[in-house]
Amino acid sequence: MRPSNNTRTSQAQIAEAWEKIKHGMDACFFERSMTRSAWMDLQTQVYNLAVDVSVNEPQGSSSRPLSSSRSKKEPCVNPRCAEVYEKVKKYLENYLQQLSEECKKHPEEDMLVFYKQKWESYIKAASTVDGLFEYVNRTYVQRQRDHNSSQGSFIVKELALVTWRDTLFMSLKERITTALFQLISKERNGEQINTQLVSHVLQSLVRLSIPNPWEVTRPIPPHVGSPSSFNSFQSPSPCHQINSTGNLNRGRRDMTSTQNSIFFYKENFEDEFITETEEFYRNESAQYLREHSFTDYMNKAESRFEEEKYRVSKYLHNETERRLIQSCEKVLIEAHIDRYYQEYTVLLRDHKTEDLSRVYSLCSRVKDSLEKLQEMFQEHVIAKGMEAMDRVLEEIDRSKAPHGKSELPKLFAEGIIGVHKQFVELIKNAFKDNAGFLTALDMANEQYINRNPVTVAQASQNQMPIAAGGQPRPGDPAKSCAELLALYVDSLLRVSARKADDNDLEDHLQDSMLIFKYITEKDVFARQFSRHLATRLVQGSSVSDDAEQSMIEKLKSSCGFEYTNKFQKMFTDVNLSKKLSEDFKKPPAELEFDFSIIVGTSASWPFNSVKGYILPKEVLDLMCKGEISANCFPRVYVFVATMYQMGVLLLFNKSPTLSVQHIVQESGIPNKESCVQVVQQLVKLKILSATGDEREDATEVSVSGSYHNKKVKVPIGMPLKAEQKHDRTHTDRQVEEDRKNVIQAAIVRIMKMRKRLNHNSLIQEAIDQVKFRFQPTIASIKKEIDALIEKEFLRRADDQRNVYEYVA
Amino acid sequence: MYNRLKNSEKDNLVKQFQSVTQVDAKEARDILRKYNWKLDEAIDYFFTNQNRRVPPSSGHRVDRKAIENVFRNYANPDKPDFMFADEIIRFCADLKLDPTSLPVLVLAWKFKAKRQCVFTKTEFLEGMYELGCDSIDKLRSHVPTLMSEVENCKSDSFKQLYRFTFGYAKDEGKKNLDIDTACAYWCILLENKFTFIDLWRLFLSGADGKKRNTIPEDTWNVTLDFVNQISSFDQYDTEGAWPTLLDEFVEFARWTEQERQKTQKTSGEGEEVMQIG
Repeated sequence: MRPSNNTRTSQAQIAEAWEKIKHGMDACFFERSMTRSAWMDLQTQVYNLAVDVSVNEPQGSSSRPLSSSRSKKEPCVNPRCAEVYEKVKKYLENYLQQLSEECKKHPEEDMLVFYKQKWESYIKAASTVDGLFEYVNRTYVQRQRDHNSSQGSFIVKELALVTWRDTLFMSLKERITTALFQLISKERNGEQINTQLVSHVLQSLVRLSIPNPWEVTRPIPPHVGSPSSFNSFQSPSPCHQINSTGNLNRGRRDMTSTQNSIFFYKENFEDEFITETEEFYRNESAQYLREHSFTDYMNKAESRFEEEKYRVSKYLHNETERRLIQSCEKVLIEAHIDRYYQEYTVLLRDHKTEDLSRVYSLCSRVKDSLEKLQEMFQEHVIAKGMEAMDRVLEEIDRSKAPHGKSELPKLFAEGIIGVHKQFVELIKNAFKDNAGFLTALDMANEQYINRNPVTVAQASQNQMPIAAGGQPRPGDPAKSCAELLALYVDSLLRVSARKADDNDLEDHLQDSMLIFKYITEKDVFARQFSRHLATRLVQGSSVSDDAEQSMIEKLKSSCGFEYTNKFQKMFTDVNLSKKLSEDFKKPPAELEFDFSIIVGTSASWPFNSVKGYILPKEVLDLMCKGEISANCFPRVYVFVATMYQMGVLLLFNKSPTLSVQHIVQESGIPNKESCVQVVQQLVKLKILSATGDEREDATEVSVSGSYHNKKVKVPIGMPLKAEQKHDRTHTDRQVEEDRKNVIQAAIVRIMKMRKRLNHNSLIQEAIDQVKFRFQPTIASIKKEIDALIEKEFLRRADDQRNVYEYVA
Repeated sequence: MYNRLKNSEKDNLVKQFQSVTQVDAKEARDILRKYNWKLDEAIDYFFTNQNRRVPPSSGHRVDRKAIENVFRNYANPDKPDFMFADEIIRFCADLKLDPTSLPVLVLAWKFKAKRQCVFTKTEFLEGMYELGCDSIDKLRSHVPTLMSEVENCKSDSFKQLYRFTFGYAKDEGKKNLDIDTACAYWCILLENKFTFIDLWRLFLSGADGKKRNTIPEDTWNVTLDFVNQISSFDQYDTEGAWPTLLDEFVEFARWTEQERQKTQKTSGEGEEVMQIG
């Protein structure tokens, strides 16, 4: 038939073959049916055309295994292939141009419908046609790719997509996106829309993200636009079928990045969509805020976030979610953040838990804003705490009653606990127990508990020695705080008429530990606590051993064994002494009167022993009390008196009238002031009567004959003011002294280990070591460093002033 | 190996040494021998210790006998191996020096005196010899040289003098320096050198309401650093490695400054009122 020696196919033949092919392609694109044999014939035509062998080759060549034909032809670059490729490209361009014209005829939403239909059939057709040109794909395209040529490096089905993209989509881009935005806008305004349609159109955009294979910088994924990245497409789509063969370059670039796999979607839709969204919400939020309350606004914002999330799941690409939500956050929250802060303050003030939780959940989306909220929260807690303390002071002032003062520790502690509980609750309900807020609460507590109107008022009563410049400095409020707490604990553990039951007591103790946690001057607390404990033990006025033990346990678990060591020892002493007393009372030493004694380890008990006070009976210290029966009055009274009182009263056995001077001398009380106070007290109680001022030596004091009391057993033992004051300063001094030792010990320990250390590190390490006991000032540490240098434990390095060396 | 140098080579080294230092041949040879004929080290030594070496002016040997004669002139009649306060006052008078002035302290330092107001015979003889003086006149003329040595309070020699003073001034057997003595010596040492000397004295006298009795050695030593480093109280870091005494001083100084400004302000306002009136 045709000359077989013809190595070059004539132009006419080519044109003829191409016509056939084009016809076949038409059939595909316009969805006309085609017989299987016609299809086979087409494949042969393509093959013949492309390999540039004579067209008259036997028909059977088409069914020849492709591998053999390829292996034969492989090495040569066939110019005909390029020609065929170009022709296909031209064909597609033509077709799509027509299509886009057609598209333009439809108005907005209809156009989208049309676009979608055409796209779906186009994809199908492209897939078929790709099969037709498989030979071209495998030889020519592969070769072009291997040479990194920008010409013809798309396989045909990709070519189809790229051409769709460049020819059809780009010319319609404006219309399509506008139509899409209109739809989305409608939905945002509450209308129902065809989400399926939007989803399909957007998916086509994802599919069109075909990277140029020659651009190595833009790696392509193995599965372009695979359904998995598109939530709404659960069933395999036509595109998927194409993809299954589209793995030509998989081995070459497998560094997949979703980022790039949807670049076309991003560039042509997402960027603009985000801008649109921001614009939409900017307007909406501004308007909404004008017309509604902030609470409503927050509700709205929350539901908007939900909606947008839903939107993504419905028809947007997963990737978009992050950006979309971010931009919503920007517009709905960040833009109004000051308003949030402002409202937040109001809500805090009004204690609106639900709204606060909304503020929290919205603001937690925005970076740094939580810190700000926490900061404001901290300030609020401090303010509230201060307020509560002010109320305590007011209440004390109002009650004015003599016992009012003694209520102070209780009111103080309960005030703090009330504030704390309120905010713990708030953090739990509104702030989801966020750690940052708990820390803020801790910091606020520490700040206001130690320094507030109550502690400052207390501290100003205990003025410190004169400081530099000659002005007196008020006492340290933090110390007053520790003292108040100690008093509160004492009031809990001491027997009294109105007592809560055991469970309540345990709760109160727990609460007091809560305050304890925030006390900076824990050593002051320990001192006071030990004094109170000792008093309770000696006077037997403790509620129960169990309660005492429980308190000590609590302190131990908070501050360690060392802290509670002495308390524990006092306990042991008391128990041992009980046994001792009992043994003592056993026959033969039968006693006429009630007698009990406590032998205390002097290092553990916080009493100052009084030297040089010799009384009718040997007395260990001022905590002793005794009973005196008085026979000189109309009735017989039994006075439960302190040792000093006994000492004074017993003097009147010798003579009914004595001068003050005489009493001071004879009683042997070492401190004149104390003695005079004892006398004053007794005069006030009307047991004694004085002729004049008890402070004058010459004043005569006599037993008052007219003493009357309903009770027979009268407790008259009250602590002396002078003694109390003395105790105070003594305790203060003791605390100071203890601190010095603690600091010095810490410094020596550190230096022993380090041998050589610079000033700042030493200060820092020393603070770290002692801070769980109290907050040392830098000056106090420096003072101890000076002292240690003087004692030659340390020395300054010769060459550097700020380096210390340990002297072994 | 240097001992095996030929004499000519040694002579050469001596000449080089002389050309740099301008000392006589004998001294050059002595120093070089001491440093094993290493020229560099010898020159180094010469310049760092220039002040202690035998002065070049006394080209001839210092006459130990003459020094002894001088000492005998001032020795205590009862204890001829010592000079006590009276003798020292006479000695100072002959030198035309005020006994409580810096030059006398410098002399004590040069004599390596152990205690204030006492010179032992050894201290005197060795000190004079070291200074290269064998008569009162020579010593008197040498004083300005000595003073120039301690002119700069940042110099090493001043620091040595300063540190020497602590041991010299304190009572024997005591660890710390009595505050009045310390104050007196600070005045001698730091007059014209310490910007805040007057305030410092006021402070030490207890103007801030605190009573202080003694100055520990560490505080004494660091005070010199304070003098040299702190020219304004703003640059002082209360948390730095300064002894407490200096913290208190700065606190006091800042307080006085504030008070001064306050009074200035009120008086300034008063003036304005006057003008208006």
